[in-house]
Amino acid sequence: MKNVRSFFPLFFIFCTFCKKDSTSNVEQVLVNGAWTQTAYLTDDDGDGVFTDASLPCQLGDAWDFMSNGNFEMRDEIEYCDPDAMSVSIIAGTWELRNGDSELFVTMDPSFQDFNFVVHSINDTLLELRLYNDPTLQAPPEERLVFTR
Amino acid sequence: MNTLPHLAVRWTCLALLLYADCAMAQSCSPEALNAKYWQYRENLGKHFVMTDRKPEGCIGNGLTRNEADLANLGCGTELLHGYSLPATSIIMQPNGGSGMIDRNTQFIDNNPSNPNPFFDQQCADAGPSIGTSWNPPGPGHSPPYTQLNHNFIEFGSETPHQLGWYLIMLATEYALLGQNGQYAEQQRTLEELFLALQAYRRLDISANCLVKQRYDEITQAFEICPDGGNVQESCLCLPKYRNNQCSGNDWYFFKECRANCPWTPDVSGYSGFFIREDATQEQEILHDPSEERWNIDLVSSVFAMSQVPPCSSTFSPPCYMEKHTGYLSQDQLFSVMTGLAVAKHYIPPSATVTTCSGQTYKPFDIIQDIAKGFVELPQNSTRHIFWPGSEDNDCCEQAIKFSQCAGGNFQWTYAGVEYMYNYINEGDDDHNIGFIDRNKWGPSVGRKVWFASAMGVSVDVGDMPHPTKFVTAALDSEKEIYLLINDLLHAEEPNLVGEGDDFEFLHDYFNQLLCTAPCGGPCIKPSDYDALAASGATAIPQVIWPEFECSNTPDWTGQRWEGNSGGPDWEEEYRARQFNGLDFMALYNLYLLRYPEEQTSYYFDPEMPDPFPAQLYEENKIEGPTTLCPGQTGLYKLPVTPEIDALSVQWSSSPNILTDDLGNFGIYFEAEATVVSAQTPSYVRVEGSNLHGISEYIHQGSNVTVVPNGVTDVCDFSYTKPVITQTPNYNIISGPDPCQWLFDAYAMGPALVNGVTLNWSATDSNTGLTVTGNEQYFDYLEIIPTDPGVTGFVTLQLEVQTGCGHLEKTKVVPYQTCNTPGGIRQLVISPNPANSQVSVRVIQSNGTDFISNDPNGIRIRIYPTSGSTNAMMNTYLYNNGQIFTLSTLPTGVYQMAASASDLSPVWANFSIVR
Repeated sequence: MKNVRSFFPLFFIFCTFCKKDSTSNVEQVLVNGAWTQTAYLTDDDGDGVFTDASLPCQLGDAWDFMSNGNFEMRDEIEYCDPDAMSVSIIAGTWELRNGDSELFVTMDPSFQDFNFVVHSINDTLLELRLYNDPTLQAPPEERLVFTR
Repeated sequence: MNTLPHLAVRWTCLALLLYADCAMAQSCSPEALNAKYWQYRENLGKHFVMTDRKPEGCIGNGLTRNEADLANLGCGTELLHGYSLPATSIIMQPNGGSGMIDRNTQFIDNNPSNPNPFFDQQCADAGPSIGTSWNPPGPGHSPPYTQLNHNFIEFGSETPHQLGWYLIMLATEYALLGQNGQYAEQQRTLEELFLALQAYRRLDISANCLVKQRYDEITQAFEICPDGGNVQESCLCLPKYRNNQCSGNDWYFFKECRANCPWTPDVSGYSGFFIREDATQEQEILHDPSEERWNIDLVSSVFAMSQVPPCSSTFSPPCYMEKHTGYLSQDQLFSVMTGLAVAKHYIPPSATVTTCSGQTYKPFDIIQDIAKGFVELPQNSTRHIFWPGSEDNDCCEQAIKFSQCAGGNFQWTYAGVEYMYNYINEGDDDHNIGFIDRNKWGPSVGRKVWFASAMGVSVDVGDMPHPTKFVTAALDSEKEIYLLINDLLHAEEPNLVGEGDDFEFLHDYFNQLLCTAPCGGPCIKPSDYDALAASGATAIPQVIWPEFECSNTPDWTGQRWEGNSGGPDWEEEYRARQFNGLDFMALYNLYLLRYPEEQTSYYFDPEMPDPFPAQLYEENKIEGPTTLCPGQTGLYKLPVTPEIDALSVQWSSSPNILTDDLGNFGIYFEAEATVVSAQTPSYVRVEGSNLHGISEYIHQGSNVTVVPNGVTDVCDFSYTKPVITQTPNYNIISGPDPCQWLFDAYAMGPALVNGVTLNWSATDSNTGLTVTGNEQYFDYLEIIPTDPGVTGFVTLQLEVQTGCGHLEKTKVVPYQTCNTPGGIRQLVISPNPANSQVSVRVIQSNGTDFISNDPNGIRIRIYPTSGSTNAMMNTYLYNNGQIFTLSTLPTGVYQMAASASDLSPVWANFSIVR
């Protein structure tokens, strides 16, 4: 696991591009093609240090937010299940909430709904963050980065 | 939680439908259920589990046959294979040859041109039972074929599942025995649990050694792939060992591994990689010819059928285990881990067991270490189980995985393992559950049993994002027991199955399940069994099927908590089987722990009450003298009832009493007992069987015929009557705590039983008052002066009376009352008379509230005004005006005392009227 504290300035630069002009703009950008996951970072003890916690098969996954509210997450490029004969798809629905600052995703069937904070978004970069309740036994904060 | 009530309504309806089919429910008293539990327990120990308990009573280490080998344990060490593993079933057969899996089949598909490479009848020959053989008799096979019945005991692929329930049964039994003061028995149960944990470790060690054995075979060019011709590389296993569960292209053992592999087996027992069972023909010692259903002559196990010796064929045991799915799968790992989680809850970290050699172990630590191996095994980039040594390419051309078909793919279920691990190893924060594992656990809601078991043991349902998914998973798969477990392991609100909870109907449902379970244990019997037996009896040569009565009672025709539903699929062909009953036993214990009001007065093995409890339930079933002094003879009688099997009745007693069975005199079974010497405790006991006619369910396809009283169910009973043969010794224990205003004494000695009378008296030197009592605990606060700083003493007298004599004890207890600040205080109870609640205040002489500075609060004690000196309620007042519930107290007149370190006792009378 590599320490990625040094990545933060880069994120701040990206954030200068992610000021949302309007609600519809965020939605338009979001649905304008599938996103490819490029990073998964976690802060496991709340100390502000994020480490790369991605599985190889997780990177390259395609996340597709469709304009009709449907959602698909496709396990592409490297399959988590190498036996799989076809692309594994987890489907669900999505909606923007709280003035487009949150992206609520429900998988079907789901154990947990995901209420992502939209940290940054532009045509080529999307960063989602999760702030988890301790009862989930998840890392306190997770960051998922996508490009297209 | 909004949808939980809807689910409750839905499941109530289903439960009521089931009840309509339960009209034949057997006697359901707490005593009858308790007797049934211990009958199951006895059968388990006699017929299904062989433990490493030595004849002298202590235990071995459960791993090695020779204690000295433990220090240098390796793959050459002789292990105690098969010990402390619960057999999955006993299968009724006229000839146990089918228990030999494929070792008793000469030709594949009965085609003489297609010989079975695994044919070897000698695999059955190492058992201890003499005079058995397998059909057909082969040349050179001895001893010769006989016409005896030959059942076989099965250690099947679901053995780890049963190990999980065994752990749950033992852990809950440990808790219940402790709650009931049966400390010696509790320690025996802890030892049995330790041996079960060691059985897992042995499976782990054996799996590692099998891997090592296969690498050594490749080095020795044994059964290498014939087309390579290169002794330095071979497929891991030949095609003939293809896993039975993997018919497609997802079997990877054809991949090549290298000779002289440097891999070292992990013999700690904590690697997480294990085989499902390691039974051998040694377990045939569970053979019991006294009853045909228990008469086993073969151990059916993949491991047993792979052992050289007794098998003589040249083949690869490690690969044979793979062929017959002998290695772990995720469902087996889940099952063992569920058992570990429940055991972790009930076994204190400090609890220890000591083996015969003096070695001490902490079962709690073993539980946590096993769980660590489990969570780390699939902790890799694809969440798979790999053949050890192959993953890092040191020994094989590439990683060789156990595929989805063999249960080796954890990518959808790894979060469940982590949830269980985090519960078992609280404090280890290295297993935060990442996004991908949580997300993929979602679709696993469809894998209902896994989801219900993992979440049921590891988290409080109320904390879950979607609690209804857990409930639905548990109920749809008929694994209601996980709601019970969740309530017990996670006491935080919301409770699920208690009074007023959404699923409180499960209380009755569980009760009905327990009631209907046949005393003889769960079993299944195909409809054609009796016809086969009849035709076999007239065949030449004769084929004798074992006598086998089985009711096919709904819910008790298999392993109730296994599989995707509560019962077997009767459309499938099932063999006649007797099951181990762990499903009943685990439910019974969990039920008692969750609903303590359902407990009998004591939870104990009726044949091993230790220490002797104050009152044995149903002790009055035996009529006769309570006191019998040395040299005296008494007549003891058990009333005859239609259910009692007269031939089964047996009398016994403690060693100091001789009993003479006088037989059955029409309305009584009678025995004469003569006391040879005095001893405490002493007892007379009668044991036997009640015979109940219960309904038989005959399945033919989807048609079920119910035959009322079709089967006779044999339910054991054991009644013990304490007998006083001497006046027991009691000592006075009293150490007043003046500033807590605790002035009491205890008669230290045996539990008080019928026939022994205690007479207390206490007289105070200052007040001159005397108080008397008749119980073991004696409160004499009421005679102590309430003035602060008073010095004096109390003379305590205790007289113990029995029909064999009496003794007296005296003790003088000096005291100085607490230097409690002065001032007149008054106790105000309202309303008075009261119904079910009162408000209590302590006020000062000016009418204002008295505020105590005692950090414990003000102690409130309520005494009856007659019949006993002991407080019926002992609690604390933290705020003036606090409400106390009195609904447990009967109507009558009471005294209330309020005291604290800054409050001399103040008293007030009140009454309860309803």
